[in-house]
Amino acid sequence: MTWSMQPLFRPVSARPIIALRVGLPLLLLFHLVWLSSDILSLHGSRGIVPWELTDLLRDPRVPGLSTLARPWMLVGIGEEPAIVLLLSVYAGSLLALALGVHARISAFVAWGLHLGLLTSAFASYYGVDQLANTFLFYLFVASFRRRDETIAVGGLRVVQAHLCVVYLAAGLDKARGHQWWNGEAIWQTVSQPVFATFDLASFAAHSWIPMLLGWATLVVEIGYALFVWPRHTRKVWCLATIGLHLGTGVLMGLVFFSSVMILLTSCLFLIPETVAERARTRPRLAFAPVAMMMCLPWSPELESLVHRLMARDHVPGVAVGIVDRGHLVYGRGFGERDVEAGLPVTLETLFPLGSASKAFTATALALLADEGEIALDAPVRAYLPDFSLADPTASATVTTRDILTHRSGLPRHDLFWYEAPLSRDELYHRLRFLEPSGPPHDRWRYNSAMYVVGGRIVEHVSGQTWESFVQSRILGPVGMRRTVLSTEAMVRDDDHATAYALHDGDLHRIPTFDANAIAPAGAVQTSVNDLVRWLTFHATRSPPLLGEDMWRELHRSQADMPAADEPEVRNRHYALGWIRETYRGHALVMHDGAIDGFTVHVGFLPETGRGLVILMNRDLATAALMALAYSAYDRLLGLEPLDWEGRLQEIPTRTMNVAKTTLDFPIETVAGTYEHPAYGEITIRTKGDDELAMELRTLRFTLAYRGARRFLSREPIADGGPHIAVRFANEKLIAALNFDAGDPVQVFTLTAPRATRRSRASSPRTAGTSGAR
Amino acid sequence: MRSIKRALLVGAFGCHLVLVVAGAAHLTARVHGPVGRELRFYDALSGAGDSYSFFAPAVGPQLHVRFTGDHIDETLEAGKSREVGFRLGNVAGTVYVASKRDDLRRAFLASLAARFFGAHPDASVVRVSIEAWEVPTMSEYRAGARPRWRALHDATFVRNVP
Repeated sequence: MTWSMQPLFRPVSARPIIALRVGLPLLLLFHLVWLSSDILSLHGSRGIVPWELTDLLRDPRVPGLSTLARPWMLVGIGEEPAIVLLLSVYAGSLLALALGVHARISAFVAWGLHLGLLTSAFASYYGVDQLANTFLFYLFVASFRRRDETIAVGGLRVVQAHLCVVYLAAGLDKARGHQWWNGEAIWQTVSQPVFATFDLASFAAHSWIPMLLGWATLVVEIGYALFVWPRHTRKVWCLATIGLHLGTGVLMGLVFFSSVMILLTSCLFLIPETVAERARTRPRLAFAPVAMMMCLPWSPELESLVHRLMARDHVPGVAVGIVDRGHLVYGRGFGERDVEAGLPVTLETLFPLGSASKAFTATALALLADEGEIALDAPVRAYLPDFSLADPTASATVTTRDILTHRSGLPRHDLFWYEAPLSRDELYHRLRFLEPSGPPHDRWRYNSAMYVVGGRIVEHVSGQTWESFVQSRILGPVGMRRTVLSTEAMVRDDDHATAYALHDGDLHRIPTFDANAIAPAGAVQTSVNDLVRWLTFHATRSPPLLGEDMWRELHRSQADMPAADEPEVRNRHYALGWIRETYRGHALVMHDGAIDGFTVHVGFLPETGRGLVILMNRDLATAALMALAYSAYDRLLGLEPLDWEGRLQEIPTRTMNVAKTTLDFPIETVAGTYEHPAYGEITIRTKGDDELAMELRTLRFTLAYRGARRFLSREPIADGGPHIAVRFANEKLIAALNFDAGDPVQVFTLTAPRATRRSRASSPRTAGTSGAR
Repeated sequence: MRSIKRALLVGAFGCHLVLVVAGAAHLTARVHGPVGRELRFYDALSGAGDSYSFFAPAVGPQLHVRFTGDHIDETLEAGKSREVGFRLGNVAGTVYVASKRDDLRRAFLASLAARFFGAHPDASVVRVSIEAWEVPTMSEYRAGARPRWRALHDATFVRNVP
């Protein structure tokens, strides 16, 4: 296993460092003003300890104030004016640093002059001056611009670790002496005139008090390095540490020292470093007047439409969410997530997203690209040396962008992975046996399996599983707390939707599809409330997981798609895991998802920052979904609503009445088991005297004879899809298992004549589709 | 290229943290010769080799500089703010340490005497004393002992009138 540096460069919020950048210079400025009346006594050749003496004891390579003042003195500026000038520059650089003006240059100047002061006045300095120098150095080194909102986590960890070392060393050094165990250290300290704020002589009579204070100091300081990291002890330890320094400030009068230490702990450990913590608040219905005005006038119309569509198309449950620049301005569950149990759909009900999951894998790859770990236009083989497709050119040249924009040259091949008893690894290795439709990079051809390749790149580059990466780098930071990445996890959740399908006009409960093998293409299971956060990130880049350029890249039109059936929809292109199109003249970024028992829509309007989520627990409820989606977008865009309800109606799937052709060969001779290196086995049996039954895993089709050893399935591949054409020749079964006429056929070889195997499936099924409408 | 840059960054920060830990464990101070000099130079710039023995392992006595002579009795930090007073107490500590070195003793104490003579033009003699505030232990205090200033080092200077 190779060690990856990538986790060290994971972006986290820069707010801890920004707070330090503001707070530390302001404290130093305050301190400078505080000392101003005595500053020349501490510095300069006429100070209490003059330069001539301090220069004897310091490393000549470390610049002192004398070094920095000398050039000014050479041009005739006196010593005291030179010192005042340098102190003025120091004050100016601190102010500029606090304001974030040319932060790196300001930090450099402030650090350099602070070092000069420290070196020249070393006789009077103490620990806090040392620490200020250390953290000014970090502010100089920390490479962030004023507009940057994130920094690499490794950088933040170094600064945090240094503070832990400070406390641990201070605590352990104290623990070596008896004074901190018997209370004498506290007694000695509060008895010294310089620290004596109150008369604490009574401590001598109650020695247990200073003893406990000494122990508490040891516990807080030594425990700091251990307890400041876990989330559940962090706040307590930070508060204890702040309490310790408040005590130091009040009892000993070390106000400056205490302020700096409180600032360091507060900035580095109390300010949330992850963007997730910022997004942790649950989305709520916005009470902003503008938002309410936007949604209230037409929400009753929308609700009425939902009820009509549910009744018309037998949709048991629907969840709808409308987001406006980070606020859920409309959200409601309709109907039932479980009809038999009578459980309602809520905004927290988990639904499988199907292909709308692709945007998660695309975002994961964009994160890696943004961090320089991968290049979207580099060949996949740069990251997966064993990546192999049937076309050697494609194997060598297909890029990450190609697979994200469906330009690998492979057609859908949905029946390759649908309910295949394959692991994700096996599925990946069988890609080489899939017939391409055309050359790579050429044109958009939807293929979900290539997103498995995308997920594999994430795993190889990050060293994490796809699930772990998406969880830690996307779901966590975005704040999608309910979202899970497997069907198994979803069905364990109490509030999850049950899958239903319509057969012959009746609603049937069906098994939930296990998308684990193809997870990077379709295994995200989530709720309206979580999708509000997801859409907020995509519509407004909040939280700023990605740099602006890469964030825009996710939504940029990249591969031409076939025109939509609706004339209002134009300029359809595939982006990275998203479809970008123009709806009635307005840009729309969206993706639908359809997997057994579920139909979903997730989309947003880049121009307005508004987004829409529709989740339905009915198989292929595409007409209802689109009618509802376009009706909502009409209103979100302030356009005259179109009659989508009337225009988009379901065409019931019926078994095709194929005219029979008289058999001209003994049909039983083609019965048997056939095998394809990628698709696996197809079993052919005779059915009656003149038909064949074809089984592909749980899918069953009746084949009617069409002459010349050609058959046509009575059932479509999927609702609205084509019927399967099958031909037998020379112990081969040649089937057109794809959706488009131009797609290549699959050649299955006879392995066992007169089929003896039976499918494990107990009920006939037609394939669901996971795809872009 | 970016990977190389990142590897260098990780290496640099790793080394930096090793020095931070080594400094805090008082290991850097034990390194001598050219390597030690370079380490201390980097420490001075970045603070990586600092130790953090604040008030540890024991709390030492407060020091101050006392000037006496020609009916004048004053201390260096008298009348200053508490922060300045604390810093001048540190100066006293530095002078006390210097007073133990033959090559530095006179220069440091003389600089203090010169400061006194500058502030008191009529004074002809001054005794510069480094004094420590000796605090008895709690049990000694309960037995009646009380804190007091104790001279650690003193030197007398006479103005050299030309």
